[in-house]
Amino acid sequence: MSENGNAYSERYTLNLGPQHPSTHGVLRIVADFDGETCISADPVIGYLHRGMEKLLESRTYPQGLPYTDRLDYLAGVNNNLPLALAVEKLLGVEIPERASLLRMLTCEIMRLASYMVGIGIYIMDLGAVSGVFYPFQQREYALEVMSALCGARMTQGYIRFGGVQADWNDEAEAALDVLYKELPPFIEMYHKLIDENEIFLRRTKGVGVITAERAKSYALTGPNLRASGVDYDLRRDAPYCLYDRFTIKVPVQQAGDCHARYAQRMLEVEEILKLIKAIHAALKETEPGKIMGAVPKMLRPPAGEAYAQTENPKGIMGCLVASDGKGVNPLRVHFRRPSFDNIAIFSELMPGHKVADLIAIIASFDIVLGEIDG
Amino acid sequence: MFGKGILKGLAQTGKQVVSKRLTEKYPEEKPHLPERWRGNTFALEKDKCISCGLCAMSCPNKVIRQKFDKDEDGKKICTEFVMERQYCLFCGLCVEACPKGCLHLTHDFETAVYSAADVPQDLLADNHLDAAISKYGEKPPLVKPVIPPKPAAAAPAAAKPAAEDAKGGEA
Repeated sequence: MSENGNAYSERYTLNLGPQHPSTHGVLRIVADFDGETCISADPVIGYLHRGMEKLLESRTYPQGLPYTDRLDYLAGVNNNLPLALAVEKLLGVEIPERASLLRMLTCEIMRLASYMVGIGIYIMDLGAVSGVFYPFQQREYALEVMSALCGARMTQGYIRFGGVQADWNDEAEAALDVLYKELPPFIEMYHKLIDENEIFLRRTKGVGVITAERAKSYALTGPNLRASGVDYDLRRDAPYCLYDRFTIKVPVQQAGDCHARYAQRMLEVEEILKLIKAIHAALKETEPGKIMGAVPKMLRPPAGEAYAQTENPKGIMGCLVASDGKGVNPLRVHFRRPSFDNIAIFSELMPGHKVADLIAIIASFDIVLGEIDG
Repeated sequence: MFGKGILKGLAQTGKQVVSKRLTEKYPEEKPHLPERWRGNTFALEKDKCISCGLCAMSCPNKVIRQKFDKDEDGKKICTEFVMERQYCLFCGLCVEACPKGCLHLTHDFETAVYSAADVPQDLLADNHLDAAISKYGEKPPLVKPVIPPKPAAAAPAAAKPAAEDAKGGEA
């Protein structure tokens, strides 16, 4: 007789990944199963490790910036921001208003793009392959804005210490207008496509439930935390840049299951669009041209440590920079990568679920392996 | 009714079938590239280059291989300028670092070659200026500061020749 009372099942170990399309890259999960039921699961990481922190320590401050795009490669600009904020804290420079607004605007656009991938891939992992193409089209509109603004679609490297790389232009304005036009009908259409789908509901409702207490104790952040009923968003609760100027409505879901994590992202997309419009309106009122603060060409921040954190699409991204005050390289750089902290709960969450539910749980967390492995 | 939601979703899929097709017919139709779009090759305006080496210094990955020499006038010249594109991140820091604005990224993206030896780009042999040049890193034109004319400027100018005259008179 086996542990789950099934006389005909046998205990075995299954390797899920690292070469598996639904592990979002190269996540490997070594899971023990009794028949179809998971007994224990252990995430194994490191297949995409590039030594990002060490790379940054061996390069000058500005040279390190383009590398941070490769952490969470679905939202490049958002990763530049914590490093830039930390170094600027050390330097003590003031950022022009327009540069701050441009940083926020690009971060929100890339947050939207990242959510689109998160939602689309989630639906695809659950078997609805056509469901991935509609959000990807919207993501393409968001990436068009970035490519008109700074020349690259994904690894933008748009933020500079002291400001941003380029000013807003007409092409980006036109691309953003397309996004404004296309996104609301898409949201409406996608709700109709997915929300009442019985297969989707049965595969996600009540699967992978995380209570608010467990979510907090495992340091979950971002939409995964808010889907468990914890009302916490850094943009509102500990504002950086100029987020304190804008009213940010943070949607919260109470269920904490896989379906809540999908619904949470869909609700947040609407709020992001509102925020983009508000920031865009504020940007229009500032004077063009002032996008860089007074920063020396050769950066040698004074000795000390600085920590800055931002609300990234996957959760709270933090960056610690230590400088010895002499060299042009940072002494130490460390990133708090949200996906890395989010997957810690997998070993507790997965036991008791079926094989197919494991896929739903992984997909609902919207992880990026570039960020986990660092 | 079980399956109502699936049918509702299917109706949306049906609408998409008859909607406008979004796919670009590459390679028959070339994609539209924005002005600042960063391509995969570089272009160099050789006569504007002052051989300062700032581009190579700003590169995070040591992509730019340069050698310098002096010509007969003692002026520093560049004898080798190779972009080892196999290591390139296309971050554009070199283009931004150029004080003369003579290094550019281009709009080329179809850069597949048969041999790995063809990937590095010797910019002195072929400056690649025939490609569509990206406007990435282009600095906005400097606004000339308007200096208000000094009212006192005329007085010293007038006083100077007078002093010279006085000197001449003494001699």
